[in-house]
Amino acid sequence: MPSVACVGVIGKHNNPLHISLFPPEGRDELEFSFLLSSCLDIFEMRMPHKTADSDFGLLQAVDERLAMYGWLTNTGVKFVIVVDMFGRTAPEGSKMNAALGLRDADLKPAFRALQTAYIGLLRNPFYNPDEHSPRIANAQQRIGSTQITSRRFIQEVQRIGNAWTPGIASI
Amino acid sequence: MNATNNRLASVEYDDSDGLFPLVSEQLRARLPLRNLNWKSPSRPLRSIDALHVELIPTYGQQNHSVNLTVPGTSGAGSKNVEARQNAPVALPSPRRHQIPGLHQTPYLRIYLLRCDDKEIYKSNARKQLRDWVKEHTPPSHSFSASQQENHDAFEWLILHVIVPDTAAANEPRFSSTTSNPNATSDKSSSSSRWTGKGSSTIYERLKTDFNESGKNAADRIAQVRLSKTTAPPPTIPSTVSSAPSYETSPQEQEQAWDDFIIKMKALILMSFDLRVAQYEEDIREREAQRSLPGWNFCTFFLLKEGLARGFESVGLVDDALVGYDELSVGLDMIIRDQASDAPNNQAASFLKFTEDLNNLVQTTSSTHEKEQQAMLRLFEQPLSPAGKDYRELILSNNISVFDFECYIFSRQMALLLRRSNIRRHTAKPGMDKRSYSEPPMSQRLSSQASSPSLAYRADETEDLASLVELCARALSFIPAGARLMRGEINEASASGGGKHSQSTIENLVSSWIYAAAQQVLSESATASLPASVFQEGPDSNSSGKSFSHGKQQDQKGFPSRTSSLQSRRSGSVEPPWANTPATSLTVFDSTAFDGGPRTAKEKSAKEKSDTIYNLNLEQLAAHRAELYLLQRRILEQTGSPYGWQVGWPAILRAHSDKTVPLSEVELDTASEDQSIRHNENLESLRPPSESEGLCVQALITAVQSLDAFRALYVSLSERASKHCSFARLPKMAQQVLGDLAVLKFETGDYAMAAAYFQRITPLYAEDGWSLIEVTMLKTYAQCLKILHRRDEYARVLLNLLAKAAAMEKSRSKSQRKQVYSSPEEASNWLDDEKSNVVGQMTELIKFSSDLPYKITVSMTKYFDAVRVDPTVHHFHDQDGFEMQIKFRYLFEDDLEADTVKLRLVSTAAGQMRELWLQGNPSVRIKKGEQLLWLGTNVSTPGHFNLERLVIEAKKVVFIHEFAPKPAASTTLNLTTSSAQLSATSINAPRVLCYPRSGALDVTVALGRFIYIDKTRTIEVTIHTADNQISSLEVRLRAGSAGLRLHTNKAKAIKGDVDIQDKSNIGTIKFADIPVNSTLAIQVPYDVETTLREISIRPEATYTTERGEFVFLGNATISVELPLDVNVFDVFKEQALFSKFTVRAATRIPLQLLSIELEKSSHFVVASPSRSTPPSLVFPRGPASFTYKIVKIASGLSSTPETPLILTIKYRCIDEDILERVQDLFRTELNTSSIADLAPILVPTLRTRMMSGVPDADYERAAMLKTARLGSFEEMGWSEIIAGLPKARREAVSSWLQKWHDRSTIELKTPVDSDYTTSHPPRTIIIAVDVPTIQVLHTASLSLPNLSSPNSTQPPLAAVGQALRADLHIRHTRHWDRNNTLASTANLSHPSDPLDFVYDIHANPDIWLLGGERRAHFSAREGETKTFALMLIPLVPGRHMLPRVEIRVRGQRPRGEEKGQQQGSGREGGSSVSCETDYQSQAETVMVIADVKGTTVDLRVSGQAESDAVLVGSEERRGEAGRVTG
Repeated sequence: MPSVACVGVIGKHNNPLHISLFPPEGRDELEFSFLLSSCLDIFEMRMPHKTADSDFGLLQAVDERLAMYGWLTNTGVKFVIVVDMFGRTAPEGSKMNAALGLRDADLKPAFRALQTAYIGLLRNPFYNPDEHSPRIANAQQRIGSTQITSRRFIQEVQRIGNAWTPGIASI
Repeated sequence: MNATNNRLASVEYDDSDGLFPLVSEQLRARLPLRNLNWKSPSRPLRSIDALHVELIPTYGQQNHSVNLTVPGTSGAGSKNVEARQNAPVALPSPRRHQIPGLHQTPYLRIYLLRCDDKEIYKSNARKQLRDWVKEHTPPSHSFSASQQENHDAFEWLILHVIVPDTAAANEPRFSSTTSNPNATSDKSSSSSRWTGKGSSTIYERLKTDFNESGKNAADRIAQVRLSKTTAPPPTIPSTVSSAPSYETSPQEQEQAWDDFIIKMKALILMSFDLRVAQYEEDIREREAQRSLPGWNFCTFFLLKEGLARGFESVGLVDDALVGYDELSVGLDMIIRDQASDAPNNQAASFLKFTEDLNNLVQTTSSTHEKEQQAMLRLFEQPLSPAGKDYRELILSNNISVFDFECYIFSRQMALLLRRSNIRRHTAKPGMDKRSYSEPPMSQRLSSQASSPSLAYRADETEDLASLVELCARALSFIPAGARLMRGEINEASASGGGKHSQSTIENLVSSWIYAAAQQVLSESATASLPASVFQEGPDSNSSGKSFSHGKQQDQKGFPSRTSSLQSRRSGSVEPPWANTPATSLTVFDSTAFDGGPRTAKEKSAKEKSDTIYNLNLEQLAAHRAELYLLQRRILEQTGSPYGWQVGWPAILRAHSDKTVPLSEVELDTASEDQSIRHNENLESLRPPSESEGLCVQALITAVQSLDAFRALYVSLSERASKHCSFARLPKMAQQVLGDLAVLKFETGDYAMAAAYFQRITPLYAEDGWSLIEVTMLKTYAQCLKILHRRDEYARVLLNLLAKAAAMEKSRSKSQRKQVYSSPEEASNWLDDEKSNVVGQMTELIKFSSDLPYKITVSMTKYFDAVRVDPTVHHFHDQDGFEMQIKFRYLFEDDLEADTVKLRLVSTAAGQMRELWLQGNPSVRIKKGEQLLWLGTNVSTPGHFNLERLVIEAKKVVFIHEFAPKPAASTTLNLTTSSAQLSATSINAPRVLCYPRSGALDVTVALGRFIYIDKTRTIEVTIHTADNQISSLEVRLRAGSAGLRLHTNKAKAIKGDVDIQDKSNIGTIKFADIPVNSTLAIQVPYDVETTLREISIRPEATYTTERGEFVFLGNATISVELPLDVNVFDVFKEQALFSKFTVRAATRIPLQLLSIELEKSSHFVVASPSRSTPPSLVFPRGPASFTYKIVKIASGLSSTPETPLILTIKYRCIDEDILERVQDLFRTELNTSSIADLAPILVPTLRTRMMSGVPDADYERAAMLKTARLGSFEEMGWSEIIAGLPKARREAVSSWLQKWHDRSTIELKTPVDSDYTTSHPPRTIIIAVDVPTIQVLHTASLSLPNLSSPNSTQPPLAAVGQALRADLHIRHTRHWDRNNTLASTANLSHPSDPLDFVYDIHANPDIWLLGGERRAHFSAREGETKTFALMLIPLVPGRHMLPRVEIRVRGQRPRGEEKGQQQGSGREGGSSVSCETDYQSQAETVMVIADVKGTTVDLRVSGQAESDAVLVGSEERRGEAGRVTG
C-alpha cells in the first residue's frame, strides 16, 4: 500500500531546505536527492501553464514504485512528496490495491499539512528565510548548509510523512 | 471482423465484373474524400477535412479478414467471376451478437456494374442488381429489421462503369443531352427519359429502376466512363462494334466522377449519422441502467467503444478519444468501487489475472527455443490493441484488469498517434497507392497493430500536442500498468503454486515496462524532434537482433514500419553490439529523410505557430526523456540481482567498502573483471537464472555481460540527456550527465568523467545540494588524482574539505542547540560525510608539496570561529608583544602547520606600516579549539587593524581576512550584502599597540635652536630604558614629500655615546648603549617646499642579549615658526635705530623670555633701557624692541663686517601647557598602579591635547595663567581603554577620571630654574645685517621769526602772517660703508658733489609757500645747504610744517623711491640710495586768527534755538575787520 517515501522542501532558488526520508535507513539519500533535484525541471516546465492552483499533481512516475507529486507555494517554495506505491504492507483485510494508483487529490491533505507546517516555521521570529537562501549565502560567502534546522518543523514533516495514507482526509 | 481496420471508413464494393482494377486508379486519385460536414442533433457541426476510405472487396472480406496472414487474397481481381455469384449468398453472416459494434461493417456498398449495352441490362444486369439490392437493402429501408441493425447501417450505390468501345460507351450520359447528330440513331431518337426503354440510356434506366421515388431520397446511381487509355486492353471486348463511339469530353468525365464522389460522401454520412444516432440512444439507455443489478460494464464498454470506433472511422479522432477517455474513467471507477468492496456492485467481474501472464510465468523457466521466441514476440509490442482479441474477451467478460487497461491505453495511443499525424519519413508514393486496395502485408499489419502510419496524410501538419499527450499518458500509465501486472502475476503465481522466484516476476514486470516504454518511444519519434529520430538507431538495432534470432516468417509478422528510413536502417543492421551508439547516431542525419518540399512545409508550419510548436516540441522531448529515464531505471533494477550497479549506488558502495581511494579503484576494476569472467562462464552454459523472465531482447542482451549492461545504460542515458537538453530540462540533464560521469569513472575513462564532473558539480553547488556536491567532488577528486592533474586535484580536495567543514560547522552548531535528538533526524548525511573526509586533509597537505606553487585558500572555509584577542600582551623581559589567536579546526586529521602568522596594518592614514606576528614554527593543529600565541619583536605605538591570519602547511596557505575587502561582483546583484560587508569591515578588529614601559623609545622633536638662515634640525632622542643594547641602528624615514634628512650630518648632542656610523643614508648606528641612558642626536633637514609640518618615521633596530628588536615610531612635527620678527630702521646722522617687532605667527600666544641683539665688529648696540622680557606676545599684540646701533669708528674696514645677531628665547604657550600637563600626568602616573601603561597613556594625552584645544583657550590660558585640562570624555580616553586588556580597563578608567577631576593647571610665568633646565625654551637666532645707504640728508625747516610761548607749546602764528622759513640740508655719505656711491652715481671721485632735488610738500589749503618749492642743489660730504622760504598759513589751527623730500636728481620721486631705502644702490648705476632724516617732521605751528575782539549777537527768538551771530571783530593790528553775518 502506498506510503510516503520522501518529503522534500525545496527553496525558491531550487535549493534543498529539507529532505526527510521514510524510513530513513532504507532509502538512498543520494538517489532521492537526485530525484528531487531533477523534478524541479518539471516545475519549471509546467510553471507557464499553471494557474493559481498550487498543486502540481503528479510530477513524474519514476518507476512502478516511486511517484513524485509537487506543490508550489506562493513564495516559490516547493514541496515534493515521493510516494512509494509498495511502501508498506497493507493491513490485514484492507482491500486497498496498490495497483490502482493514486489520485492527485490523495496527496492534497499531505501538502496542505506541509504548507501549514511551513507557515508555522515562517511565523517563527527566529527563522529568517534569507538565511536559507543559497544566493544570499553565496553572496555573503557563507558556506554551509542552508537547510531548515527547526526541530518542530522537522518533527512535523516526520509526522506528516508517517501519517499519510491514500484517502486520508486530513493530517 | 473486429480485426478490420477501423481507422478508415470502409466501403465495400461488389465487383462481379472485375471492374475495380479499371476504376481504382481514377477513384484513388479522388480520395480521400474532402470536406465532409457532419451535423448531428446532439453535437456541434463537425467538419471532416479528409475522410480516408478503405475499399474492401465484398468477397475477400468475409473469409480472410479475421486472420490476415494469407497474402494475396485481398487482391480482388477480375478472375473470381464465379465468386461473384455466390458472393452475396455465400456471405456467412457474422455471428450476430446482442452487443453491437463488435464488427466493422461498411458504410457503403458499391456495386460496380458493367453493362455494355441495354440488352445485357435488360436480360441480365437488371436482375442481378435487383438481387444485390435486395440483399443489401439497408436496415433503415427494411423496417422489419431490428433497431440493432442501425449499428451497422450502411447505404448502397450502384456505379455503372462504362467500358470504352462498348455500346454503352457510345451512349451519352443522358438521352436528352445527346447533341451529337452523328450519334447512333437508336440512342438519339429517344426524346424522353422516362418513356420508352429503347430511348433512354442505361444510366437513366438504372435511375428509374433503382432510385427510390421521393424528394429526399438519395440518388444511388452513378456512372463513370472509362477512357480507352485507362482501360487495359484485355478488358476491352473484341466483339465491339466499330461504330463511332460517343466521345465524352474530359470535363464531362470529370463531372461524372464528381457526381459519383458527391454521392459517396452523402451516402457515407447518411449511414454514419444513422449509426451514431443508434449508438447514442443505446448508450443512453445503458447508462440509465447502470445502477440496476446485472448491469455489465463490459457490455457498456463495447457499446460505447463502437461509437468511438465509428467516430474514428470517419476521422473524428477527437470524439473517439473522448469516448475512450470516458471509458477509461469508467473502468477506473468500477475498479475502485470493487476495491472499496461495495457488496452489491457487480457491474463487472474481472479475471484475477490474465491467462497470458500466467502462461508467461509458467514458461519463463522453459528453455525451449520456441517458447522463448514467443515470449519475446509478446513483448515486442506490449501495447497493441491487436495483440489479443481483446474485444472478444471483454465481450465474454473474460478479461483481467490489466488487459483491459492495456487495451484502453493502446486504443488511446492509436488514436493519439493518428491525430498527431506524425511525420514519418516519407513513404514512397507508390506505396501510398497500394495501401488502398492491396495493402502489402506489412503495411496492413503495421497500420493495424498500433501505428496508423498514415503516410498518405503527410501533407497535413503534425500535431505535436497529441504526441506530448501520448507520452504524458504513457508516463502515468506504464507504472500503473506495471503495478497491475505485478499484482496479476503474483496472483497467477500463487494460483500456480507459487514456485516462481521473485526475480522472475520482477523481470517480467521490468520487461513489460521496458518494452512498453520502448514502444511509446518509437511511436512518438518524429522527424520534427531530431533527437527522437536518431534515437531509433540503437533501438531498432536491438530489435533487429530479435529478428535475427527469429525465423524468417517471424520477421515478416513483426509489424515494421515501412519507411525509407526503416529500410535503409534494416539494410545496415549489424549485430547490435557491434554498433556503438555514438557512431550510429551520426548515421542518420535529419536531412537524409527530410524531403525538399517537406522542409518547406515544415518551415511554413513553424512560422505559423512557432512558439506553440516549439513548446510542444520541448514537452515532447521532456516526456520522452522521462520515458528513457524510466527505461534506464528498469535497466538498473534488472542489473541489481547480478550485483551490477551503475551510477552512484556503485560508487557509494565502493566508498563504504573501502577507505583508501586509490586502491579502491583498483579493487573495483579487479572485481569487475572477475564478474565478467564469471558471467562469461555462465553464459556459455545457460542464461543465469536471474534472467529468467526477461522478455525484452534489449534487456536480455544487457544482462549477458556487464559491458553490454553498461553499453545499454550509456545509450539510454545519452538519449535521455539529449532529450533533456533539447527540452531545456537542465536539472534532469545534469543528473543524467552525472550518472554518465560515474559510469565513465567506473569503466576507467577518467578524463571524460572528470570533464563531466567539472561541468556538473558547480551547478549543484550553486543551489546548495550539498550531499550531491560532496559525493561528486569525491569522485571527481579521484579522477583527477588518477589523471595526475595536481592542481585541480588539490582544488577539488579543498572544495570537498570546505564542504565537509561547513557541514561540521553546522553540525556543531546544531549540537550546541540540541536540535536533533531523534535518530530519525532527516538530514543525517552530515554524519555520513564526516567520516568520509578523514585523511583527506593529510592527503591534501602531503600532496601539496608536489605542487609547483602555493595554493591560497580562505581560512573561514576550513576553520571555525577564528578569533583574535585584540589586546597586546607584553613580554616581561623583552620588548615586543604577543597576541592570542583562537580558532576551531574542523577535521579529524591533524594539520601540520609550518607557520602561523598574523598581519597587522596600521590604521593611520598614509602609512602602510605592517606588523607580522609569528607563532612557533610547525604547530600541530588538532581537531577542536586551538589557542596559539603569536609574538613579535616590534614595539610600536598606535592603532593597528588585524588584517589577516595566515596558516601555511606545505604549499597550502590558509588565509583569514579579518576585514574582507568588498568584492565588486557581489555589489552588483545584492545591495544588502554589500552594506553588510562594509559594516563588517568597519568592525574589523582593531588592535592598540604600545610599547611596554621598559621598552626602548625614540622620539623626534624639532630642534630647539633655530638659526634662521641655516638648515634646521630635528632632535632625535633615544631612551634605552631596560635594554642593554649592544648595537643600535636608527633609521629615519621621511614621511613628508620633499623632506630630506641629512643623517650623515647628524651629531650627538646629548648622552655620552658616539655615533658609530652614519655613512648610510638615513641610518645612524650606535654601539653599546647602557641601560637607562638617553641620547639625543641632531639631524639637519631641508624641505623642498614650504611645509607646515613634517612627518618622520623613526625606526630603531637594536640588539640586546635577548635578540634583535625593532622599534617603530611615528612623529609629526610642526615646523612652522611661531613668531615673526620685523625690523624697521631709522637712520640718523650718527646712529641707526632698529625697531624689532615680534609677533605671533600662529594664533598661539608666545612667551618671550629674552631678546637680545649682539653687537658686531663694526657696530655697538645700545639696548633699550627697559628690560622687558618675559613678556607675552599675542597674535594681535606684537612686542617691539628698539636698539640703537652705532658704528664703531675704529677699524672700519679692517675686519669683515658681521651681522648683528638677534637672539630671541621664547616659549609657545601650547607647548608650555603641554609640557606641564604631561609632566604632571607622568609624575602622577608613575606613582599609580598603572604606571606600566605610561608608554601608551602619555603620548595619547599629548596628541589629544595638541589637537583638541581651541586657539582661544591658549589666549585665555596665557592671560589667566591657568590652563584648562579638559574632561575625561573630551580626551577620548575610551578609545584607548577599549584597546587595553580587559582586566586593566577598569583601573585605568577610574584613575584617569580621577585625574581629570582637576580642571585646570597653573602656568607659572616666573619660571623656576628647574623647569627651565628640564624644558629649555626655544631659541631663534636671527642674523640682522645693518643696512647701508649711500646718502643721508638731514633736513630741517626752522622758523627763525617765530617763537613759542613756552617750551611745551608750539610757536604761534597768525593767519596770513608771512613766516620766514629756512631749509637746512646737510649731506652725508658716511653710512655708505662700502663706498659704492662713486660707482653707482658715476662719480669720478667719491667725494665729488652729487646733484639732488628737494621738494617741499605743503598742503596748499594750509600753507602758502613762497620761495623755491623745488630746487636743485649739489652737495658734497658734510656740506650743509640752506634755502630761504616763506610760509603763510591760511587757516587757523595747529599745523605741521610742510614735508621735505630730497632725492637724487633724475630719480623718481620719493613715493616710489621707498624701496631703495633698504636695497640701496643695488639697482644699477643710476640709483643712488638716499635717505632723508627730516628733523622738522613733527613740528607744528599754532596758527590763530589775528583778531582782538569779536562781537557776537545772541538773540532769543521765538524759536526753540538761539542763534549767535557774529556782529563784528577787531583786528589786532587795527585793520578793519570783516564782518560776517
